[in-house]
Amino acid sequence: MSAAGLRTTDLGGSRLGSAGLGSTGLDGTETDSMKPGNADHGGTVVDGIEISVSGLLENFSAEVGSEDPVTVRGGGTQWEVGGLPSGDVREVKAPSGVWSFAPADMVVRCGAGTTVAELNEEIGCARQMLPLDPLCPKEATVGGVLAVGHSGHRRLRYGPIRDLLLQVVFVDSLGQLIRSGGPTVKNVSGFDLCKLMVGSLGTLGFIAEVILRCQPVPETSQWFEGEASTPDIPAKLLAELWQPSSILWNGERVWVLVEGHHSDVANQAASPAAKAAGLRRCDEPPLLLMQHPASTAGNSADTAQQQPPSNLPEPHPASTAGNSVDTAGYLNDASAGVPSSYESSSKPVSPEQNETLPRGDKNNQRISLPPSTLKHLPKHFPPGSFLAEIGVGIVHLHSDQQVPADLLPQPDQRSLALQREIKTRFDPTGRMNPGRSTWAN
Amino acid sequence: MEVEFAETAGGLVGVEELVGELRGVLGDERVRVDALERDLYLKDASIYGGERPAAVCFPRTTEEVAGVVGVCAAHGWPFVARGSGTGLAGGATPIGNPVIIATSKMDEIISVDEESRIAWVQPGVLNLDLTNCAAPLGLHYAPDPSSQQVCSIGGNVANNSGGPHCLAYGVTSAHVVAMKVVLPDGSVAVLGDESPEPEGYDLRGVFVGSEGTLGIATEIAVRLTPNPPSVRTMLLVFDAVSDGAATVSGIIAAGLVPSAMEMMDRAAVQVVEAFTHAGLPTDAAAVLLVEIDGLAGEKTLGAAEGTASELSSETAGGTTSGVDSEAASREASAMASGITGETTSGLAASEETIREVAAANNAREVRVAATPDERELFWKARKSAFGATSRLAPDYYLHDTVVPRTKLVEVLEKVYEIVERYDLQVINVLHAGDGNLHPLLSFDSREEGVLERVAKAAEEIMQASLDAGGVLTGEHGIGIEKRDFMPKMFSKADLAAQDTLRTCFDPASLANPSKIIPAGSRCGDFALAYMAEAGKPLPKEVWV
Repeated sequence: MSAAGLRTTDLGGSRLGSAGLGSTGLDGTETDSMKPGNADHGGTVVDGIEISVSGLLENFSAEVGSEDPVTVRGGGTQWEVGGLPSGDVREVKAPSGVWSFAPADMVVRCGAGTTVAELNEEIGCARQMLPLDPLCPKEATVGGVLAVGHSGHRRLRYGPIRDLLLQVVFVDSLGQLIRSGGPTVKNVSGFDLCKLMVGSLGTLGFIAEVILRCQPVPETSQWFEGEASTPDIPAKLLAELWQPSSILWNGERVWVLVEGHHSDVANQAASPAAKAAGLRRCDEPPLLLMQHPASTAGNSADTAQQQPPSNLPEPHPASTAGNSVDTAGYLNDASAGVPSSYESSSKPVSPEQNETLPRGDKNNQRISLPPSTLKHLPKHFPPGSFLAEIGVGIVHLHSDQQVPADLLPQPDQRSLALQREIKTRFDPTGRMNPGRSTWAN
Repeated sequence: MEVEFAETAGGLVGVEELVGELRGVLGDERVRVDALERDLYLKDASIYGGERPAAVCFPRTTEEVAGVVGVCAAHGWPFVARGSGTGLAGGATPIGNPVIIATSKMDEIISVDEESRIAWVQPGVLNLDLTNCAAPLGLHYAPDPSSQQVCSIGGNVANNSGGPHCLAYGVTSAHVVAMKVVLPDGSVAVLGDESPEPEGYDLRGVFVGSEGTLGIATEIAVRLTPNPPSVRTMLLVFDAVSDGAATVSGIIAAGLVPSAMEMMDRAAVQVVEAFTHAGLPTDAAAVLLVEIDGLAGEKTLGAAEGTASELSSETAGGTTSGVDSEAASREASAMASGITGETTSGLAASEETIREVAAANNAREVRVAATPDERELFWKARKSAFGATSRLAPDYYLHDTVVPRTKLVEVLEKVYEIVERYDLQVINVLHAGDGNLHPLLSFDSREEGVLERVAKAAEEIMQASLDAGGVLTGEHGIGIEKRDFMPKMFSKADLAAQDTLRTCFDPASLANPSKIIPAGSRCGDFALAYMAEAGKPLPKEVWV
């Protein structure tokens, strides 16, 4: 190994330079920690270049430890999903940095604390991307998005974010680094703990590092909008358009995102279904409606009910002064009355942040419904109060009304018991993110 | 009846008592105990033989499966779920005198919802039967293993099966929405639901690919995929395997994700051509089958009218077609919508890119299937490869590892070197787009010492794949074949975490014991402990 080849990635997250994009791995190499069978999960010397990622992971696992209650925080953009951490809890942050990127393999490896914007910026140099699509990519971390498990508005085309995760390294309740999955785009070696980690809100382990499957950046990406007072119109668009990236319907209008070769986009815009819907190009869909419930300056009732844990560090600026971002996105959380007191002692957000972050509202709900039930939404909610992801089933609802029970899938009690068993066995002392829960009851 | 015993949690119970209780659930006819019938289930399609099962059961419903499993659980008796028996890793091979629960009579397509594009099926439904059922709706089931005519959806779920078209559309896990399962204690649970983000942990996700060790899926909701409006199937011919592999990486690096990208080396082409007469060039070092789909410009504007078997009739080299009046009208309409562009298509552009990459990597010929029949012939050749090897030798061992796409050349060269050293024949048919290698070692098992040579060569190929940053298996599963190689890929802590998951579902290790997790990963592997206590040896061909 030559001294000139040494490179260290510090906890702050050294970033992959553009010079490294043309070949495999950081600076054109592949690290052993991408490989299975490397029991120490890092510490690598390949082709004369050293990447001290192993130290990062080990430091993180040591920081998590094995005894006291601990919570992991990403960008804090979905901090209240599943409930705020409770009790005397210590906060840690996962390491960040894009550690290797292989354009010809379409995989990227990064620390869980890397922001989505940073990750997409790095791989964007090779015209690749990760369709994680959080509302606040500059703040949201890759690990946080995966731990919450909410897919973005392009799920219709790119699938759920869980299917982008190829390999995960997480810290378990004993402070051990555990790896599951593998660095290849196809792999059925062993039980798939990656699936268990996505959406688990850090209640089973804290995601430290991930390898993700990238996608090519589409040549053209264009939103269209049209009138759609009945569900037949979005349904027809779903049936007849070829792989639309997103179809959003609010009961009176429809927005369609079409991506791909520019001729394909043009042809789809001129298709009979598009014509029937009167689709016209638009610049921006009403994504702000996708914001999740949040505490605002006006939520005094909530804030008065519960004081923040005294030992919690400073909250993310985005969650202050009525500008908290997509917090408490679960219907179940909302129905459970998750308080939003944490913001009351926080610092004001800057004007710049005010402009870039969507404003929250406690009446915003994110609901997961069978896609075939979306057509019934207008019977229960007035047009404009919801934004439904057609063909997917996610509904962004702005209402103080509860969703009728007959629309919601009924929880299976045996499955819930299994989930409790999993929580108990993976985290016997309940120290991983206490207070947060992935299920309602 | 030959009497066998198992020491169980519930005490010592004889097979006769067990069978009596099983027949109480299913009746006499659907609990088979004849020795010859049981021997039919000694192995799956792998080379790994197991032990004669205690009985073979044929339930038809979830309730009957729950009843059978409940009997097993009450007596601490192991059981093994079995679909069509096409597994290649010994996943359905019985170890420890288990009860076989065959799902072949659970072959009902329960419902197909065109609107939600979700079908509920029983596990014994054959993969291709589901696609054929959905065809009138313009839909299909995307995972398409080479054995899709005979493999079952339940087996696909157990193995998280892939197939050529999983390159773009994803493996089984991406297409399973929810499941009703019978857990190893005989209880019934529903994992996931038809909504996109069910609350709680993704138990659906961990169940898929668990090889029957977490329970038995008895009703499965799968997502159906719209048929592409147009398909273009290209055959690229190379005089060097390395050029073919470099083309694979080049296509991906160019930002394309074809729906399928399959490669065959010369030996594979020769054996396949002799069998199918598809017109493949037998002197080529490698052929690459690349399929792309999407809109084909003005010919398919605006509607998914085509089917999966429909082909563009555009010929090789044609990147644009004539503009008819209707197309011109649509172009004008597109302009009115704010989008303008030349009259071509993403499909044509992708074909052009593939041609450029192939040319840069010395492809000597590029063919595009001109008719549906020609495309079908191309695919018949690809999917017949393994069966056709019976012309080479009576037996074969089909390997399955995955490497980063960029390492294909390096690992393929290693494969050739290894098999030559062990004096074996190999054909390589690979899901090249996924980096999924399938070296097929053909041999005559009557030859003395050949099995040992095959085993050693297979192990070295696996190690070469791991050394290149790959994984043990891409779609066949761990089973018993690679169980004891798991420590090459995972640390003790990794394996203990996996075993913790398994224990949550099956604390007594009754469901398909001795699979996936190697002995020593937990405190007392059930089957090994049982066999040691019972004085029974492991099956001969099990690597331990």
